[in-house]
Amino acid sequence: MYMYEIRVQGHLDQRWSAWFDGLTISYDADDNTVLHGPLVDEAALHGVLIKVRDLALPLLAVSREKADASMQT
Amino acid sequence: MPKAAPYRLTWIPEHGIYALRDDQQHEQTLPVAPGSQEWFAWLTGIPSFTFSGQHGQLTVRQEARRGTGAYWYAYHRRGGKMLKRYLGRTADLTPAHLEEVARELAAPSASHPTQEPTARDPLQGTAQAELPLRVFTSDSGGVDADAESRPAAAPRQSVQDDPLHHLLMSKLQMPRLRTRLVPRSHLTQRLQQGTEQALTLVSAPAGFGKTTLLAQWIAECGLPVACLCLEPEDNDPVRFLSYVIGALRMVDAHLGATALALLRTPQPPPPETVMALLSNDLMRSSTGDFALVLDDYHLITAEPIHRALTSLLEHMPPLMHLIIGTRADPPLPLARLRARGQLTELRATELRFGVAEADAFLEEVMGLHLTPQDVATLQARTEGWIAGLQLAALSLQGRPDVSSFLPAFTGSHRFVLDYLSEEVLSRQPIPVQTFLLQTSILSRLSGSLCDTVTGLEQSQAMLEALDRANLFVAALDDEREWYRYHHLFADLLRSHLQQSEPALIPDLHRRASAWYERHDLISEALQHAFLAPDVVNAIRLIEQHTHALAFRGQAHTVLNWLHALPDGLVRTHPRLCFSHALLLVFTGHLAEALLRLQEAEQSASHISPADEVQGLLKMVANVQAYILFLQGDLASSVALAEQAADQLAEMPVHVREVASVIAAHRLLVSGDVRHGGGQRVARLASPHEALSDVFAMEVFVHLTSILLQARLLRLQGRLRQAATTYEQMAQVQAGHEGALIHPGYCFGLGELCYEWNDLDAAERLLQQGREGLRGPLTLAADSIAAGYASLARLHQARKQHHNALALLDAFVQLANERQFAPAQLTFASTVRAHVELMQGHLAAVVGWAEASGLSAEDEPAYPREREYLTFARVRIAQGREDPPGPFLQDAQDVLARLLSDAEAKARIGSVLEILVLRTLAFAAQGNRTQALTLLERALLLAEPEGYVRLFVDEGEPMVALLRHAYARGIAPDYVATLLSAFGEQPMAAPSRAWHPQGPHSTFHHSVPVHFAQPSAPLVEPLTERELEVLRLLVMGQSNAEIARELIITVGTVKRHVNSIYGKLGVQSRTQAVARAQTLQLL
Repeated sequence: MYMYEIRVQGHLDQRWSAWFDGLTISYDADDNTVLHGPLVDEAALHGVLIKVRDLALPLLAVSREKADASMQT
Repeated sequence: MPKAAPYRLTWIPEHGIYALRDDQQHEQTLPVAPGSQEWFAWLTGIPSFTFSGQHGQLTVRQEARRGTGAYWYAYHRRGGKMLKRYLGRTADLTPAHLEEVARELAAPSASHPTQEPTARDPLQGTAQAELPLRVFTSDSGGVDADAESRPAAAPRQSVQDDPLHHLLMSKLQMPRLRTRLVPRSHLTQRLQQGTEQALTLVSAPAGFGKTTLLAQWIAECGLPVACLCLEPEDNDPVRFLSYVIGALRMVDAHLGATALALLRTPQPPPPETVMALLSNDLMRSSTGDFALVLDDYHLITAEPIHRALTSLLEHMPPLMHLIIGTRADPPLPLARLRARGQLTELRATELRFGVAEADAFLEEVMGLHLTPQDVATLQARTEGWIAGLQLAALSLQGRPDVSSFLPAFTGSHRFVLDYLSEEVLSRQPIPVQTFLLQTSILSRLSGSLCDTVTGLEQSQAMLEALDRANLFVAALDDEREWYRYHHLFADLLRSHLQQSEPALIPDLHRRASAWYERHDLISEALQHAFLAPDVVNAIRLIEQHTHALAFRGQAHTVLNWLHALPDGLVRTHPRLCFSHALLLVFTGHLAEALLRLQEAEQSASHISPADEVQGLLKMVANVQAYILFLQGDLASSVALAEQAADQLAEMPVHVREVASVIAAHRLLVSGDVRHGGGQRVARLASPHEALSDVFAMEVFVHLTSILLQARLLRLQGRLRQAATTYEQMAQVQAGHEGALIHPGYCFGLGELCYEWNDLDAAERLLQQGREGLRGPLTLAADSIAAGYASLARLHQARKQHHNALALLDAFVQLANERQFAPAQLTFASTVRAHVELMQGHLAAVVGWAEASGLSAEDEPAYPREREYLTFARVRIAQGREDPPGPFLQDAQDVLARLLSDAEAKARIGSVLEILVLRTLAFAAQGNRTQALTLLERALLLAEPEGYVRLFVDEGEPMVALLRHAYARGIAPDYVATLLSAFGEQPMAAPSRAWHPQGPHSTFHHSVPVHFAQPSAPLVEPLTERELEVLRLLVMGQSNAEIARELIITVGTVKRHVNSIYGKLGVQSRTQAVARAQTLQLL
């Protein structure tokens, strides 16, 4: 389990959170959308990326950080 | 049009009766009163008749269904269309019923006017048009559907009669074009130019109008175009390829017949093989330039499909053009095609609307009247993204204050998407909103399906209204029966639904699943059950419809779903275990399937009601029998099949037949080929009926029973009849569109050709059989083993010692790969001993005999006959070295027992071989008189069937005996032929004149033996490494030099050199060089 951060261009409403498997939605200084949260594996990540693609959202960045201990259980 | 039937049932108004006439017999009236007992009896014997009733005309045809009797269909031509109706069983054909149907079909307002794609003979037409679809529809009139998913008495109508036919056809055409569209001639021109190259890629994110553009181009391109709109479920290679072929057959109905037949076999071949066959067909097609469009290719993630498409692109005939619509570049060799100038690309930059197109779109299509500035603003804010423009336009419709709305467009167009979808939805009346949200879970929409899912009525009207309002819904067929949402819009709706009413979603899926199940679209029903998720129903659907799912190319899809279920759950559902096993069998995972069957057995007691436990166990036994049969454990397989066969009355007909055809192999276990078995086999094999309505299991049953028939004849020593049976098999297959040559046919006939000493034909057939094993037609392991054995002996006959042994190694490898039964490995080592004995390695073979555990005191059972015969040969060879020793008597003892068994069970094939061996044993004992007496008997038995290798393979001792026989005038013509097969001329004049072209000249055995021919191509090609070694060898380098050059050890070089010698059939370096030059290997 890793924490991922997926940055897409444009302002996406909070209600899309459920669509993106519960990833939290926040916004950066340029009002681009940041999807953030834990994904079980690479396959889950690609699943989310396909949703990004299918909504025609321009992808800006994907990054991964280690999950904290509480996320691993 | 159905062929005019010679019989005519006519209403005679002046007499108030029906008269039955035979048009071929000068309209003679037949004394059969319609509706009477005689009438129904008479009907069973005729294929068709014409009905001219009070209310209209019909052509009435019988369609036989194997096992379930005859069904009747009525045909009526109206307005250029052929209408078809199911009439019922023979007993339903009363005059009143015929009148009723005639009236119905004659009335212009027939409730379900049906049509064929083209006006062909309905039966022919059905066969053609139905093919690509019947794999998936339950409603193809196929036997599978008859047998299990519907009551036998009420088969459905033909596929064209079914409203769901449109659903399936809609995959093979692009969505209907809307009447008002923005002309995009610069893009359609690019597409048109693109057809001069191999591939056109239309690759852009959702909402850029890819599908619409393709549909526009198709409408005006003037080329035949095959279309396939892909869906996530199409990731099953079998399903994908079947649809591709189905699409291509809309362009040329003859394409892909073989490939399609392959796909319907229990274990379809790799997709590349299918594509290669298809490419071949395409090369030969007389169709001019045409295009294949694959839309939404981004939904395909299965690697085998990408590989298949790559291989198609690499071998694509010049007249074909592939066009792919996708959101993501597919993993095809795009760079290579680009470099060769074989790729046209249309991407987002080209697809987006410019200002002029945006203006035309907003004005003409969306009916908005905006100022040029407003249009420019919208175009700029959406960056020409068409879906965004459409959403904006929908938000603007009916809004007086356009200019105040526009400033809300800030930020990127993706924000526009989000904002506007909200906007568009909230502007719809509540019932429309609800409808849109609730139906968004469906990948396709029809009025009836939406009624079920929403619990409302009038869904059809709603769909039509949405279509008119440009609300992202597209009609998929001309009848406006099936629609779909624009994928992007559907995603938007689903996300809204998930947010607003998440609790409702499982119910919606459940309702959709129930609707699909009611309409017999099991795969779709299953999909919604899994999405719900409603595991109970999903399991029930799989359990109930396993066969149907497996035969419709869904096996891989269902297996994927099954893998998603917890293993513990599967294991506690015995029926599900069984279903899983069956699907594994159909995808070629025999060993895994056996494990699942074991689990089904173990958990069978969980089933309620308890009386169904036995039924399940019988089914399990049946599938186990099938697997063991393929793996070559004949004894266990036959026993299981016999156990299963007697209690399968309520099972589908093909299940019963698999059991009975395997059970019929009892004769190969007992070795008893007297009368009973023969009749049983003949009954199974005789009628050609099975192939009229082929599907996988029927093909298996039919071909397996023919093969068994041929093997029975061979055991009876009736080689010529056996050959005729194999030929019949080829004819039956040739008669069936697109069937393949069965490896069992190649091996069987190849073995006969070998016996007749037609070594070239034998080699060709046996090699073809080997290649055929890579194909999909299943062949039992024992038949494979027999084929390899003959090929090994053939190499030996040509003195290719190494090849003969290498082939047996190859068999062992194959046997391990395919997990053949141990009996087949024993058989292979027996054949190896025989070949080694022919090569003169007596010591090694004696080692085999000692290790085999065989003894002269054994009471040999037929399945081990080959071992005992080889054992006897070893003892005879030992006896020649040591005549006073015990060996020859051992051989005589074993052979005497074998002979009495073979004679008692009428196994003439065995009798002959035993007589030959006894002849040799007596000769070795110095008892020439007895030897010649037995040899005479063998010659008389063998002559009519033309045996040659039976004698020739016994080598020099047999030559000596045959010379004596010839001198004594025993079957002199035949003996002369045999001696000439040794390359011998008779030494002394026979007691009567010898005719070199005697009565046997037409037989295969008159063909002389060919030993290793200098120019014959290699049986086994050299590997890359061996070619490297050969090159250095030809340059005159020593082994040590070669080792240094290739950086390998001298030992490895020697191994390579030996292998090269073996493959080239040579013994020395000089010969190898000469042979390499003859064959132009370098």
